[in-house]
Amino acid sequence: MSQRVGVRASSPGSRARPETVLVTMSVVGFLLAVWPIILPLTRGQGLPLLPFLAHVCGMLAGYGVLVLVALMSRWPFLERSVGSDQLARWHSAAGRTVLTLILVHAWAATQAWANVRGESIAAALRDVLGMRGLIAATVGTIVLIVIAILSARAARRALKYETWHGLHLLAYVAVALSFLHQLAGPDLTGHRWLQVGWALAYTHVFALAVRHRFLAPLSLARRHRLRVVSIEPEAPGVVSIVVSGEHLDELRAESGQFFRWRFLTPDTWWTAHPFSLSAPPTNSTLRLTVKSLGDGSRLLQSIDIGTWVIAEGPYGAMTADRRTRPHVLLVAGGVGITPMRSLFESMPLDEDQDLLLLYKVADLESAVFREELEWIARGRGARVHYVFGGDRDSLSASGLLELVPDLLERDVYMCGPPGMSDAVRGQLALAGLPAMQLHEERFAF
Amino acid sequence: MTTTTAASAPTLSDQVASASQVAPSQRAHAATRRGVRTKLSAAVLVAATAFGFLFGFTAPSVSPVTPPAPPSAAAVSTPAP
Repeated sequence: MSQRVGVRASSPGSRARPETVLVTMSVVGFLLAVWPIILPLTRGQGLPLLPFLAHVCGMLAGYGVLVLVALMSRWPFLERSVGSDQLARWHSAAGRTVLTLILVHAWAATQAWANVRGESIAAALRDVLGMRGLIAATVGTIVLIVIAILSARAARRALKYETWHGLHLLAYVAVALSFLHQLAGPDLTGHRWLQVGWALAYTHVFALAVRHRFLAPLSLARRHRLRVVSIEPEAPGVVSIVVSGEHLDELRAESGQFFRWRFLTPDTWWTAHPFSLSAPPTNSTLRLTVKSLGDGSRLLQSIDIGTWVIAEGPYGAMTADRRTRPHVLLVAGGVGITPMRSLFESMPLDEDQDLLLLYKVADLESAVFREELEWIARGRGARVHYVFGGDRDSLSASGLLELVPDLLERDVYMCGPPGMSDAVRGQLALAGLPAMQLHEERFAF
Repeated sequence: MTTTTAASAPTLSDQVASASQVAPSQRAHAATRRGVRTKLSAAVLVAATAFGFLFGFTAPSVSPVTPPAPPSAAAVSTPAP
């Protein structure tokens, strides 16, 4: 199981506000939805309800598929602008919408055909499936339906992350299968430059995915030649893996960020898992800390020294440069301590500035990095405050204000399990912390 | 139950700042890497554009999924003998 869906990448480069990205995508979608309405009007034709539904849903579904692929392309501009975790949520919501549009499109088109021909729906379906490209598009739709069912929360819980991820990659095949049908649709045919534009949009979005999901990691692997050099047990089921490599300064990685790690062993090479840096990166080493939460992370507990590694990243915007206030509160829960431990060590701190780490764990014995945290605290004049097990009061709004009286004057960095993060986020808002001062990384599969 | 540990000592911010300094030779390497990345991006862009034009220009000019008009009354009526 993956441990993290990260947040905004903060490596240098252009970026836009997430709202701007969302509005741009929506405006393009609106224009495409309007085209099938304009088209018959320019020809002096009417557009009955069913064909209208079929055309509009078809255009929007075709565009939506493009958006889905783009959101998951790991395009640095989007990663920086929106953030990996938000992109994943948009992808999930858009996926459900696109599938609905495809199904409405298929039903409305077949029903409209049946009405025009005066046939039964079964006969119309037979006619429609006999058309060029329609069998492939239908197979693609079935694949997308299967993926959507397996992505539902309940089904996902029953699946290994690796299985789910592998099946999810079939979505690219499904999209490719529907491509001819899209280009040959009645809204594009007869408008050659529209077909060319549509094809260019598809090839460029697929190119983005190939460039950033496939070629970029290979290029990084060749340059940095990462290998496992040590594995240290931190707690039961938790190990730190130190990876060495060349020219790592070129990655411009920072504390608080994460990479997607692919360990090249026969059992683990085919999936990349996102794990945070648990120590500030150096020119020659990166350290990640892995808790055994599923098959993938369990295999990493005993990985061989010398194993080659491909790291994709860095991602994540929970970095020191997001800080707006002199004092800082770090909130960690469970294995969410990993990026916090790194920030705790490297967050720039002047003598008149305060750094407090609030670490929620079951008990002191199960605290990961306990000795390191205390060593860092001593070295920096910082503080670690442990919150144990069932202590809910300390993380309530009043408890937080009692513990950190100047809470509202601080930047808060938080990483923890979804339940804890949701609760603390609510309490921080209740306490009056402005949203701009909360920098968060959510981890989930 | 909670517990807090605290201490005071010189900060590590200076060390962090010095660790983040990049030597000129490293900057040159980084520039080389950016050059490689740019070439890779350009190659992918050219390939995507070529395939886009190829697919666009070879796409059907008449849609195979346009429903034919319903059989008209004239068409279904039997010609007079």
